[in-house]
Amino acid sequence: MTLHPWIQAAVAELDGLDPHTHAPDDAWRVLVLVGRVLGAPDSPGVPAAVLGCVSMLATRAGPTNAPALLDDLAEALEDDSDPMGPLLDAMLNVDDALTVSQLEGKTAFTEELGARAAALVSVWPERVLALSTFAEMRIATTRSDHGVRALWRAVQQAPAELLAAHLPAARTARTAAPVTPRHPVPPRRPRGSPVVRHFDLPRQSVRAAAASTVSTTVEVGEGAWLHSTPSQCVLELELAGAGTTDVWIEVRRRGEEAILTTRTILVRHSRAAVEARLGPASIWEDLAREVDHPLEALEFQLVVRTRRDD
Amino acid sequence: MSAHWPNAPVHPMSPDRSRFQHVIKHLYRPAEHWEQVVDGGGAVARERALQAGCPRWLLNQRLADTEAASSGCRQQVLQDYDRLLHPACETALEEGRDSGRWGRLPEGGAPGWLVVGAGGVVVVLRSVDRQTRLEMKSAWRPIPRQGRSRADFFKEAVRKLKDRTSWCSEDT
Repeated sequence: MTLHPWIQAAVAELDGLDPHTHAPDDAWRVLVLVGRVLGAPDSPGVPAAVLGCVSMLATRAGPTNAPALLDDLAEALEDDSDPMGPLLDAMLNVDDALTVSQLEGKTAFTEELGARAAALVSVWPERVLALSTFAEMRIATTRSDHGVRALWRAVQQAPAELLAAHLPAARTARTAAPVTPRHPVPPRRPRGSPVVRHFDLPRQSVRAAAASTVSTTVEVGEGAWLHSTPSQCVLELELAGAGTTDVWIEVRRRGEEAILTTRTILVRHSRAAVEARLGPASIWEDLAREVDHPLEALEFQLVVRTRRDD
Repeated sequence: MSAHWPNAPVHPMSPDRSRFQHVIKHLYRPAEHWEQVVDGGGAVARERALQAGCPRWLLNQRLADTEAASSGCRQQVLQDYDRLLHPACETALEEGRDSGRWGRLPEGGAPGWLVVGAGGVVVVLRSVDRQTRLEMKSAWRPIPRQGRSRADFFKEAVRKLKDRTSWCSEDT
């Protein structure tokens, strides 16, 4: 059986690296290469001496900063430079993290990171179209149960996502699943000293949006409007100044403090406003299903955190 | 004859919007430490842009809005492209060509190449205009996971090159 050239390259590079290295970045690279080789179909395996170093190498490499990886990926997806540039770097960094966490047997972490990265990719299908050959290669160089496949499958699904975006009737069904992370997503990490605003979403507008066949716009707070169509809910926020904005939804049982789940929302900045695309109008029903409560029993709050630049 | 790397002359990025955004997103980005490869790059260049009237929020934008910049700001940023970023890319291209640190990109429409300079500067080239012109499309310094020395940046850039091109044949 002939090894795929990408795996051959990993074997060759691994051969030239010291598995006892103390340099964190080299330790990480050894882990990545071991993971690639062992994760390949018909893997040739790695020397026992190298395998025995995995735990030590993981300690030296340090933990994975998943939120930072996802932030970088979101930034690169929002960019419009050549997809084989920083965007592929960001994808490769996520791929590396998935490969190493799979190697370490961290199944839940691998699944969550893969799902969240795939969700991001599905929001910008036009950006990843040019990476389909690379995605095909990564699928071909991993076993069928490998954690990195979630990421590259999302790239392979990009043409369908893009097509769905032009078919209003189909968009709800097509985008709901990929945009929905499989696990509650914690809010992204704060930067600087943020200003946090909370907007209670009126139950009637949530219900109306969920069942709506027409477009509605509801003012949910000062300078904040929720536009709903069957295919898309969009929160529009006036910007009082430039900065970085994070938006997420918190879901609670009516009258209770405990948060049942959160959903991070991707935002797009323009000069005077922030646009947070919440997804199709079925997002509220999806969230209700996720926490296994009827829609009527829940309260939804939009949280907007802005770090303004001085 | 098709404009292919490394035989054809390489043209700067175009249009101005792309130059403007690359300078702000990469040359001024503190984490990319361009001062390691070009005198006056990185934090020093960013500070000069602030003094030239570029608002801090603009320099923090993911995709800097050229139209939101004052003429003084725009002029400063584009000057930094000509004086700093472009020469650094040309140096990287020479170093990459002479050392064989480049590879053909597997996809992306027009034929493309990735070249790595000795300081860890990575340049994407594409053969555009029906393959009559070879143009820089992107330039950045991949940020290592932990290390921050020039050598760490170089190692990271070479690894990213291998990951992209080690499986591609030259006639991809």
